[in-house]
Amino acid sequence: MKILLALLRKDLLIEFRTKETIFVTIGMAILMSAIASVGVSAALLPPAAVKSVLPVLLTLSFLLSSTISMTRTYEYEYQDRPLQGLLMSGATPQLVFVSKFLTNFLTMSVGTLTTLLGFVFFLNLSIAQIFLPMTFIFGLMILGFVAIATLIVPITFSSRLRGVILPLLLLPLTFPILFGGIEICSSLIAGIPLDLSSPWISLLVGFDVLYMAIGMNLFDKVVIE
Amino acid sequence: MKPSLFKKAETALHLLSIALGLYALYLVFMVVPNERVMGPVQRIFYFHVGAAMATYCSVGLIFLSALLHFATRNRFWDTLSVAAAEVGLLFCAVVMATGMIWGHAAWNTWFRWEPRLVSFLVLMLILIGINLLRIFGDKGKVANHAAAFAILAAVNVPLVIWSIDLLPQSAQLHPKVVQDQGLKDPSFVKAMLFGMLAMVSLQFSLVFVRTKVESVLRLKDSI
Repeated sequence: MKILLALLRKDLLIEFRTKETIFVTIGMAILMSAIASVGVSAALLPPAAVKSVLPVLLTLSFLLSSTISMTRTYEYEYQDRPLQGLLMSGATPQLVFVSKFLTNFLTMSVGTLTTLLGFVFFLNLSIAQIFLPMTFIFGLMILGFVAIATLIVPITFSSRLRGVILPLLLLPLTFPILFGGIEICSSLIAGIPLDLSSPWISLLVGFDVLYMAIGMNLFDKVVIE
Repeated sequence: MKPSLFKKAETALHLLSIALGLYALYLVFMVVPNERVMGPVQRIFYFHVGAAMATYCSVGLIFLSALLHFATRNRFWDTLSVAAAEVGLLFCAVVMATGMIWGHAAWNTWFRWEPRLVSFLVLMLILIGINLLRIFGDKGKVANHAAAFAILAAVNVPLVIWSIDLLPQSAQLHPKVVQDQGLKDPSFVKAMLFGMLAMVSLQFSLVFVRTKVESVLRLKDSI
């Protein structure tokens, strides 16, 4: 636990000092919500229609900002190779993965919250009643997305295409999470209360756990070997 | 296995796939009657289902070879994985193409938002991803990376299979032919079984050939 906290402190400290990922994430979130809102306003959609497309707009904005900012995750580990040093100091690959995962989860959560608030602000929406369940669902989506992205990003680092190949590898694998998330958010917006026993919640949680388990077990094979 | 025995097994596999393929074609075009509602276009179903089975077998092979690669570090499993990924993509494309042709005749649209269609498209995108990784990946690390990616890809297959049950039937149009006992004529069942066998044996034949080609290419690169 001590090692994990030390690793997490290191990752968060790097982030707070450089502010690279968080700035990119928040900047992209504001930009995407503004652009999408302009598009929606230009289409002169009625308020009910705007609400019904909100989950898709939110997910697209989240995907774009997250995919771009995730490419920075291992920038320092690959620049000066401190990963070998970390492993020699007693940190297991699983702990390195969990630390990276938690840091990414934090930044992505801030980014998604900014996107959600951006849409509420730009489109003048009132979603106070479903804000909490929607945040919970997006939290589940971010969990799965970050688990898989933390494993896929280092794979793209060794590719000749680097950041360009990331969406091609990452996005198809996140499909079950996005599909489930959009379905639940659409139901929430339609006025159906959140049902924790729904198959979509099971799908989201199942894939979160599965991707997390695979990520932890394959991290050393992907990054270290 | 002795080289002569290996050669005989390979020849037997190729001959079996040719024989099964010819017999399936005979059944589909000469024996099976026209389906009452869809007419002749329904015959594409026998290729569609067979190609889907071959895709699942390929993904199974990719998954198995990924696990065995990590367990044994034998280069053969990586070679097999290359072959299975390419052949899997080929059959997945066949499934999509035949499905779209059938869809255009039945639903008057090439593609629609339907869980089974979308999840199979996602499976195809994942297989494209594996093949792109092979092309653009670092030669020294791509075996591990592709194996890890293959394991992630394989966990999506159950979703493709069960997606038809996840949503209420009102939300989807993909037919449940076998579950709904839609194959009334015994020749329908026979043609479907032989169509599946033919496609799966063709898939194994192609994987066999591609594995051999990849082994020779790797041998050449190592000299």
